[in-house]
Amino acid sequence: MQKAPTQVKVVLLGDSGVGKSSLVLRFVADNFKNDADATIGASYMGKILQFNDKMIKFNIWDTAGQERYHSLAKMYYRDANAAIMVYDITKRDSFEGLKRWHKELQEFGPKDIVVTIAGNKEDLVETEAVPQEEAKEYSKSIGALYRKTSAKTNYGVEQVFRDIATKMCPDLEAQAPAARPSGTISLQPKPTPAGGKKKCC
Amino acid sequence: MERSKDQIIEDLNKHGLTKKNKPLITNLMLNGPPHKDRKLIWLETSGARLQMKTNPNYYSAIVEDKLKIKTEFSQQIDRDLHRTFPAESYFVEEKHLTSLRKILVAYSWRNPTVGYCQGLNFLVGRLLTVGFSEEECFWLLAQIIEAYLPNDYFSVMTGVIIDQQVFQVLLKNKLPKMAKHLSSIGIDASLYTVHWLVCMFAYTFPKNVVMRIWDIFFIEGSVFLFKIGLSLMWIFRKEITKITDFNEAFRFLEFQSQNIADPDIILGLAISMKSINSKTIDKLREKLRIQSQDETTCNDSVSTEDSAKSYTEICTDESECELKSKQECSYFTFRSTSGVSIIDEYINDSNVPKVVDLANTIDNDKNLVIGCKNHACPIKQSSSVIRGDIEEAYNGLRNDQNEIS
Repeated sequence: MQKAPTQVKVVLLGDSGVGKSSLVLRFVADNFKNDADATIGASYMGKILQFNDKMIKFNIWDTAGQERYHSLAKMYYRDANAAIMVYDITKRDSFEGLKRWHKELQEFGPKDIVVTIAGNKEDLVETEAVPQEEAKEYSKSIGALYRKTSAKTNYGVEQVFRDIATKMCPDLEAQAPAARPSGTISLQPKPTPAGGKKKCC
Repeated sequence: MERSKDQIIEDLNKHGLTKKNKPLITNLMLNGPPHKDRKLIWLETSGARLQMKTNPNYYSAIVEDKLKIKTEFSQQIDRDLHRTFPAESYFVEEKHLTSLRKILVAYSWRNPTVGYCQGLNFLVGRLLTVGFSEEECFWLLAQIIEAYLPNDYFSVMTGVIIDQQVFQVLLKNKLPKMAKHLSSIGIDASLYTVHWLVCMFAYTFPKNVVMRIWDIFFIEGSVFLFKIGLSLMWIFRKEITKITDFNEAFRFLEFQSQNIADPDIILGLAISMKSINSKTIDKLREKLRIQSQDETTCNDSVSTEDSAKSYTEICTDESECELKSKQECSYFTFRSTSGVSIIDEYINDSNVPKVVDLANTIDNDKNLVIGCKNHACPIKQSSSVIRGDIEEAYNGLRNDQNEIS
């Protein structure tokens, strides 16, 4: 019998226009659109990643970025296992905005939530407005993971999600990451012990 | 048959929306009006045409004065222009995006409490594709925000949160089995109703369905949005009660809504819900608002009443009152010449100076003042429901008995 994948709820937070929806679209559908509908409220997408003998299903909740939507975003990060806080590396304001989002998370998010920071639009690195060291420093200070990404060029996108899985289940770390699945996933049914909702190993 | 339709429209054109022509217009709208009539009917029933008549050059003046000024709102608008129905060829054309920008920026100056809220781009986008001029879109938007929806809908969005709770109560009452199922898998209305309410379904349904919904919305008011939401849930009731996964239920709702292609079914269902009216909604809103004020400690929000200058006007006769009740809580603009006492050009032309507090006005240099006009004169006090049955709502407010408590 096939073991159901472990469910991981991930919520994307960050200022408007930093590329939250684009990151999700790239990760889930390996697609990129220069212009997509602005997100109103939230949208949901799911994707399963294979870690050798383990499957993890990411339930990804993408939220609206404008500040006044913060009060509505709380509903979406209830019970989240992980949060990806996204900023645009070419916009200093969006980096500063992370502090507000982090405060919200601390106040309303689950206590043991895994936080990761994605510096998106890496393809525009020549106009970078936030030194990488500073971003790393800040990530460290709040105990968050950090990675640069580009939804456009597919740089580091899947890795963000792999980082989350590895942080949540350190025993995955020893396993070499499977080759990036290109749209299809080979399902390898292997019985593994049942995992709790919060911890996947 | 055709002639009588013309007569109805002519009557509307002459007299505005009256008690007598309202059912006729509603009936006309139910069958989907011809495109040319739709524009006229929306402008008339919403009060937008009256606003245009009362404020000639208002829109063009704001555009001329303000369009080039960079503000936090104009920057957010710019970010959203290309993210407004990007899949529709209409919004690929730069001139249409320019119109969209002008309308949204102009509105952000008219009403600084709201400024710009994401989602308004979809409202205006939809209005533009119906074929309204920029000025018409501007006033339709103004009426939607100022006359149809609670005043903290787009500013701090408390109104949206309250309406989500209103919907949850209605769902429990009207579709109890489904409400129970959804709550058993952890889905609350607050998760899936944001864009229903903020974009009045423009973000949810295909264009032809949205237009038909708005046909009735402009007559019935925001109560109709709840009826559409309930109808949608009713249509999906069998499928949804089979889904046991939280994420999948949400996804089902999002994706299947986009596949509602035939407006007749959902409209027919919504129209048939006679037991829900504006009065019901207002009472629920009031009740839930008091509850949430008790519960919440969030106090960084500023209410419209606090931030915009407001005053209450007194009408001299009933017909004047009737007219003004249509424009209730309109934001208005006038010019001050002396700082504190200003000439109110909007309410009457008698040049009687009124003393107002200029503390919260914008653009003092140019003496442009924006405020909020509350219509609450003793002759015929109107509730926050404008379009529904004004008198009925008024009487209803005094009547403590309500079917949903």
